[in-house]
Amino acid sequence: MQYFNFDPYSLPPEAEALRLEVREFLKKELADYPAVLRSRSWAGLDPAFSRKMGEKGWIGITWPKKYGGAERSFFERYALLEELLASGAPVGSHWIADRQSGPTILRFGTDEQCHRILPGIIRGETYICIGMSEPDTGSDLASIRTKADKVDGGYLINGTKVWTTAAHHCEWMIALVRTSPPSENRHAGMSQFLINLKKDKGVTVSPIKNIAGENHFNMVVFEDFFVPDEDRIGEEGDGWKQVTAELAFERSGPERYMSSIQLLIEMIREAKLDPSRRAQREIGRLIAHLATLRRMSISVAGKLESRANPALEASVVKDLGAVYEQDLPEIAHRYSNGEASMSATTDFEQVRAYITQAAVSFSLRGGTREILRGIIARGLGLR
Amino acid sequence: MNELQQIMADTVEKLFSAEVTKNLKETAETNVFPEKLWQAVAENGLLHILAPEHMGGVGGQFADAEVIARAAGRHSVPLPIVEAILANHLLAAAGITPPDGVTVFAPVRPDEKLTLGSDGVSGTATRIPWGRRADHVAVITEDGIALLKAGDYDVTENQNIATEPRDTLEFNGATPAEKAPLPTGMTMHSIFTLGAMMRASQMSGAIEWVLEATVQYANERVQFGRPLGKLQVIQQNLAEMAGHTAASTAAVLGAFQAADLAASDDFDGRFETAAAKTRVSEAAGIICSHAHQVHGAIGFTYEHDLHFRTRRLWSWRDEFGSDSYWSDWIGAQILEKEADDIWSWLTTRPT
Repeated sequence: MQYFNFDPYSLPPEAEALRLEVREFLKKELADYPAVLRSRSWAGLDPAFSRKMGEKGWIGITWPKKYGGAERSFFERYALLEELLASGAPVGSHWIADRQSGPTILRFGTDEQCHRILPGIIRGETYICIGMSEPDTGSDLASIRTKADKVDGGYLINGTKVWTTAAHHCEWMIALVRTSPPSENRHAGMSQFLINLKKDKGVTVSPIKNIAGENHFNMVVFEDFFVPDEDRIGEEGDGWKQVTAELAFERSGPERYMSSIQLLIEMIREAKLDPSRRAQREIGRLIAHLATLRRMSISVAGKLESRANPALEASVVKDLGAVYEQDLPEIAHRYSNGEASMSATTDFEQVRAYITQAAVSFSLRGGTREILRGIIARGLGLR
Repeated sequence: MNELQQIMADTVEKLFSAEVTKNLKETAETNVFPEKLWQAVAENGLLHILAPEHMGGVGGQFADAEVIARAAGRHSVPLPIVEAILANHLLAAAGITPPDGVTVFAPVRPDEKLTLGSDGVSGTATRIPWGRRADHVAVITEDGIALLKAGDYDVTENQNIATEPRDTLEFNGATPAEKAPLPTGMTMHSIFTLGAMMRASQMSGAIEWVLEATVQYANERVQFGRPLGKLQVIQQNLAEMAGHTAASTAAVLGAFQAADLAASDDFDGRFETAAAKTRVSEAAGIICSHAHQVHGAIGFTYEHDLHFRTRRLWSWRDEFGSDSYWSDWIGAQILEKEADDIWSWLTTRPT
């Protein structure tokens, strides 16, 4: 009995050609970009870099030409993302819009919304954040309380969103809110809205400092915030179905096993300077895992390309990937002879300091380990 | 899976489900070779899957052999099937028609070397699967491949954790029945790697069975008024097992894919097997541990079927190079490259 399907896929020649083009571009563009900044991976924010990506046509690369996209394949997009992550490019500004907000608008939004929002994303100018979690809503997403009350011409939104990555930096949020009170069907009565965060009335964005000292995520408070009817995405009440589809995109990419790759690269650099049997063995093991995760992740990309639902397999890769990403700083710690610090004199110890702190979030963001394993258990027929 | 593989999968599944009973597995652990089952396996052409048609084989690819190895592992078939498949493949590739009967190959340890000279074959090979029952042994040396008949070497019986025979063969100038140079493109190490690949596939098959059996047990066993599988703590462990199972299968299929590429192309496919044997051997420990934990005391009994797989997994993860052997091997290749070139190297590997 096969619970999962990880059929092998080979990336087509056009994806490999794009890979080389991207690699060449990044080599020049990031020539002096320090290792510790690379280690921030897709959390690094840099609007100027995002605009350059836009000029290259590398945002929204699979989207329809009529909105400015390139209608290229998911495999090409996959190779592009891998290269960006492997070199630690500062892609954080546009990453979420490219990965999930754009696809949500494309799939469930109106033609007018597509014309209004997508071209800006594609140019690397419009950034979008995800309004799902709330102060009393972490993994139990159906318990959200932020609500939208119908008024003439639109809705009034009241409530609080939290852990909103890069909200301080985004023009738009796609928020999941209640349009009807909770009922017996917990998944009913929710809708998604495009929220313009740059409006000066009814919305307050406050940064929340994380343990690594960064202001990545935010609290966003809505008080009688007006959203026009034309900014609702999809039908009223379809919110749950839509976010479920969105989460499959959120969980299916190579960023789910590549977040700590800069540390692996620095470990290899260290081991070459000071070779030991132990380091050699640890690195060999990490490469074996990396190659296996990559194979599985490309299989998930193959499912996206053939329009199959990758949600279950994506959960498997994300769970294994986060364990791997979190193992890396532990292994690096065991074989380091020094002390990790953001002000250390070596790249290895700086990167180790950053990843050690950041890694705890890798099994929280985008679905906790426990939630993913619940999804996998359902795939096994246990619930 | 292509059509041939699907037919092969159906054939072996049917054969092994019917014939590899608990009684047969238990009897095999008392040093009795299941002759009738061996005959059935041979008659189905499974042992000659890789040998060319003009030598009585099927002319299949490694990916076809994978189907057989996986099923052999899934059913804990107490026979040297994968060893015979490889021995017959190596002989055929060297131009020697594989003989009938039980043929295995030696050595199976990376640190052991036998010699083949004008004075015959000499040296000691340990841990040879079913050495005591073999009719022939294909001896692999740097000087070529030699086919030896039973009786031309001394056998000391030994076994692994799963009571599978792992015997010591001593060669003292034995005269080969036939000999030939190593097939083009093959080395002692590439042949050892093929052994690791086949073992990894058996392990992946056994792991899949263990996951299924554990899920089934969790659904049937009722405690605290509900099936174990409804308890979240059990679900988390089963989900973790499922992840390792999926990774093992993916890694193993990748190894066979790379081996087929290497057979037709100027390409070294050893990395994928090294990665697969590393990955699956590491998974084996976690899978066995969780499976026994969920099964509780009943799974710790000889009566229950679980141990036929778990004891094999504990043995097989050591055989043909453990995870430490192969991760060390990968590490050595990696450290020859520049740190900044590792990623671009990885992207050239087949997926």
